[in-house]
Amino acid sequence: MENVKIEVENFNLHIKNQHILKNINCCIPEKKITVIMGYSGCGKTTLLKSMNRLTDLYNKVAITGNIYLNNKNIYDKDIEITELRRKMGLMSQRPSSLPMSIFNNVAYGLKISGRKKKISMGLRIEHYLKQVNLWDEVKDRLHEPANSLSIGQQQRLCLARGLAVDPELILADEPTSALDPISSAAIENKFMDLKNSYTIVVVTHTLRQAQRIADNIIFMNAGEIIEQSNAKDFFTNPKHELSQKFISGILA
Amino acid sequence: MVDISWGIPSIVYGTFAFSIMLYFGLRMSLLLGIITVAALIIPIMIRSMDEVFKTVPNELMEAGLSLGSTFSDVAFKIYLKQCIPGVITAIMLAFGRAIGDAAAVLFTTGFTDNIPTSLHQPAATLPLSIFFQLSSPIEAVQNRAYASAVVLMIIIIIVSVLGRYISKRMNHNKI
Repeated sequence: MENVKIEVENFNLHIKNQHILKNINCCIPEKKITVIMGYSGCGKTTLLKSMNRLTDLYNKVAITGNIYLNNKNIYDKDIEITELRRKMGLMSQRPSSLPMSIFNNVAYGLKISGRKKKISMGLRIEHYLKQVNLWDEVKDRLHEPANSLSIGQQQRLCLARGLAVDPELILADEPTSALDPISSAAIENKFMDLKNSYTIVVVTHTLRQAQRIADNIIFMNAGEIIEQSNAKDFFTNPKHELSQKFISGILA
Repeated sequence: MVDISWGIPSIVYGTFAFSIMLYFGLRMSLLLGIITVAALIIPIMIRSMDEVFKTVPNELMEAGLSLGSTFSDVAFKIYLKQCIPGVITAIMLAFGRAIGDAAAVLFTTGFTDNIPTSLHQPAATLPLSIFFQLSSPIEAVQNRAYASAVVLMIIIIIVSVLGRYISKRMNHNKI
């Protein structure tokens, strides 16, 4: 039996009387890539953001149910939210590089997690940039602003910054939707490498991508989980009618 | 509320502060002028900085928070970096209004020919000295009014050039 990293239990989320997530129950296994799929607006992103409590930022959110990270309820009152979020690196749809130089973007993550030693900073940053295959492209212009990079490079930079805080999980919200095929492939390959040491949750509506990288699939529709199973079963033998329809998109 | 207080003419600020001063039996002084002008420019600063901060994309907050930074970290280390050019513009706008304002300080700071040695003495602001010295019949005093005008303009030019320079230097990291 594989270890469960995140367990969502009877989770409901309302925003302004709209029932966004309906009685969600699911498990995210450790050191696997779990892909959340579904049509636009079905609550994939909200579910992802509930996991690191970014939903706290929204107005008029009502939440019932529990999400457990390492068997600890993240909606407990005594939970340290910054500590919780540090455990989860987030990649958003469009890269959100910070308004600083390339170097400082990664350094920000390191500084936040309390590793301030100047001496090792450069080496660490090199390490993380190499980990996302960005080092060779940027090593001569580390002190240029991050927005001078292409979108694909920025997305990798964001991944490097996320890794720099030493998370346990990577939450990726359609990380490749704004990228060209080559940059997407670079990110996907990175995920495949990283899944040995991190738990990865990816939201996507690209079926092919899900086929390529997923170990487990969670299929959602209109705020409910329709099906969750391992990727092989899901693609060869979908149980629910809706998932069959969704998958037939590949064949069409 | 902020919009209303932005719209109030500065003479109203001046007379309002004056009536409060009368109530407490205070005399015109530099300090009271400073307080009045501060009240005058705060709405300008709030409004223009607010507009600047509204332009910051939401993702920046999410990105910052999901790295495990606190709200104040995000505010001071990320938002401020993004917004510093706009903040400087806001400060310059407010500074321009404050330094050129005569009406608000007319009753609160008063006017004197001496250099004040403490905050509790009246003081001459540049616009007021232009006003009073120009209405004097003596030509030498009138010339001093023109000198004040030149000084006022030079200060404003220096501040705005400096502001532009700083915001340009800070601008290149903006996303």
